[in-house]
Amino acid sequence: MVAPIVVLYLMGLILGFLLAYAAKVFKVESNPIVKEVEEMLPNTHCGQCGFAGCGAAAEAIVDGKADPTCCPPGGNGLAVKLAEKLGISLQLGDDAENIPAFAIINSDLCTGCTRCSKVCPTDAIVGANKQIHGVIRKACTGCTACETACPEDCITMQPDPTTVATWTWPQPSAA
Amino acid sequence: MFSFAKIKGGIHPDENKHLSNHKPIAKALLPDHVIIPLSQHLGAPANPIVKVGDSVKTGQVIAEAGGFVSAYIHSSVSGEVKDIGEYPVPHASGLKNLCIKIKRHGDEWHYLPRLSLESSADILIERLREAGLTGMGGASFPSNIKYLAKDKIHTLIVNAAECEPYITADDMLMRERAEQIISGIKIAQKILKPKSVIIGVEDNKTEAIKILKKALAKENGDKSSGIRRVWPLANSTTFYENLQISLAVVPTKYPTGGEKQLIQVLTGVEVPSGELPSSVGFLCQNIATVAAISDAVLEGMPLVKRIVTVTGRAVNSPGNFEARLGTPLSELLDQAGADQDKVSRLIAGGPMMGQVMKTTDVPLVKGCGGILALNEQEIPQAESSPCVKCGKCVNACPMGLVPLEMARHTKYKDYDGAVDFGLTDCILCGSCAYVCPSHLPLVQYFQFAKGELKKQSDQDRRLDYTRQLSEVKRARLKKEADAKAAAKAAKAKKRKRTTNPA
Repeated sequence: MVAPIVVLYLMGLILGFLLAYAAKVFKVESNPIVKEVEEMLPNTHCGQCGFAGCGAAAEAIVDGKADPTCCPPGGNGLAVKLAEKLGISLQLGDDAENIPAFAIINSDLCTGCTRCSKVCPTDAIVGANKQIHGVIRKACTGCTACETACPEDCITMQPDPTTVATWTWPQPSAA
Repeated sequence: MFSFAKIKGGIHPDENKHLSNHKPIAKALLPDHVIIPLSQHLGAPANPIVKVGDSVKTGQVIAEAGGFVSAYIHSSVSGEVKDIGEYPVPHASGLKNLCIKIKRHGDEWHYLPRLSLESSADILIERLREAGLTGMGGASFPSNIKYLAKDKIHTLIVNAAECEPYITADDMLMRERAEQIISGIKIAQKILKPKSVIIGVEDNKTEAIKILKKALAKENGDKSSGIRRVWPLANSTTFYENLQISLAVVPTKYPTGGEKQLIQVLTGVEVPSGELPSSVGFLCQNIATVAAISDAVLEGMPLVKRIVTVTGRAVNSPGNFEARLGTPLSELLDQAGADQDKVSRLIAGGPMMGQVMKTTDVPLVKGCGGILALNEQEIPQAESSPCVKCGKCVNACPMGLVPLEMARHTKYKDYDGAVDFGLTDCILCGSCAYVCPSHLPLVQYFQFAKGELKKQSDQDRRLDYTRQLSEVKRARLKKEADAKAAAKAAKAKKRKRTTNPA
């Protein structure tokens, strides 16, 4: 009875030390840039890029498996910064493709099931049970998570309309 | 005490002021209806406080300041509020924006209580706020905010340069209402207690200078000596001193009327890049605003009208009109006898910095000093060709920037590169484009680049905000899950205890 306990105890101790030693000696340096890229990403884990959250996306971008333009909430601004950080060239899409979209809830169809507000990563949807929900534009990243979650299909994504306050000059066409 | 410096660069475009500088200020006909934009000033749009169907009087507040940097808006006629909705506004985009439409019935006034020079500085500043005063030279910065920095100010500069070609509104104001200007200056003096006050006028307004000199001499109370000519100055700047208000005549050159340029011409002080004039102790105020200050304080009259020059060669009888804010430009153009067939470009503001309007249905706003209806001959027609690197734009730039490099970097979407060559300091005066032999649309490049930078910074700010939100949400979800797990554990423990009391 005592022998196996001692043997197992000693084995555990030895293997533990071995593991601790191996962790020090054979340590694989994780790429610190992944961490930095992850911090630059929106960290809303919306999944629009096709990866499981911003951490996985950061890894993919650093490994070259994903394009820096893959993050719609980040838009062109983020893509330019990422490309600069990683020293890679960038194929920016047409600006029109990168206009941020916003969720709009059709109040005629909304039943107030709160499913959309539960999945919203930024708490941009307000509304209580059986009350019509609304979207806070400022907080919406256009991640479409709510669009998929809505059982009534009453959420659509629409680009932010240009107003006098958000309008900017177009690029001059001349020489 | 003062040293004088010429501004860098600058240009001498055709002045064309003779079209309207002999026309006295005419009262424009009161319009049938006015359309009053809620965003006529820098900062947050005003919040309407009237409803459709309300009857309002001239001078009554119809919208309250929507933030710290914002302005009150008053009805400019008496009548009935017809609509609060989107109407075309005088903006480069040609887009619609929120306005209040008022149908006029008569002209019944609602005044604020009159104040006098005896009132305290704080009360006077508050009056500037409740009268909805904003800078009337073009940028429309809420005046009361400027005056809040009063303790830092040692010199008040009254900007009467009016360097934009064509426009003569300030010129006529000085000729006809010199006393009102002086009482406005006294109010500003009372608030700021500056060591000196300088009125800066370009030397092409000889008549206005004569009248101002006379008015200042009267103010001095010593008619015999009049105004002493203090010293003859380099580059023909003439300086007249009258106790505390001096009149400085500066050489005509565009853009001397730029805030930073005028300060430099008059005092030799260069306002640092990215700073406001108050950081070096100056407050620069347009002369029309100074006159409006006098009205607001002594008459209790909010900002509901302004003097505007309606001119251009597509107008049969150009002139200066005192018009109610919100008057459709089409009515003012009609009164000046504009020939719609000849108009090939309509501009709100001056020819250098004004914005092209797509329609005459836009209303007159606080910052609009000129309406130009130009015919075909007045518009440059040349096609643009590639930059030949002649450097004329560098010599013309009043801010000492390098326009050709800024444009090159902008063309290749390297906005940070453009910033390195001074994009953020660019005042969009158009001097570079005026001298460019290749007729490059330089100002459009800089407008575009500034817009892109703004978009980028907006998006960055947004990203930061949503990131914070999602962190908060995740923290909350974790806390909830932890609490649930803890409750479950506690329940399990309890159950164990009840089944196993021993």
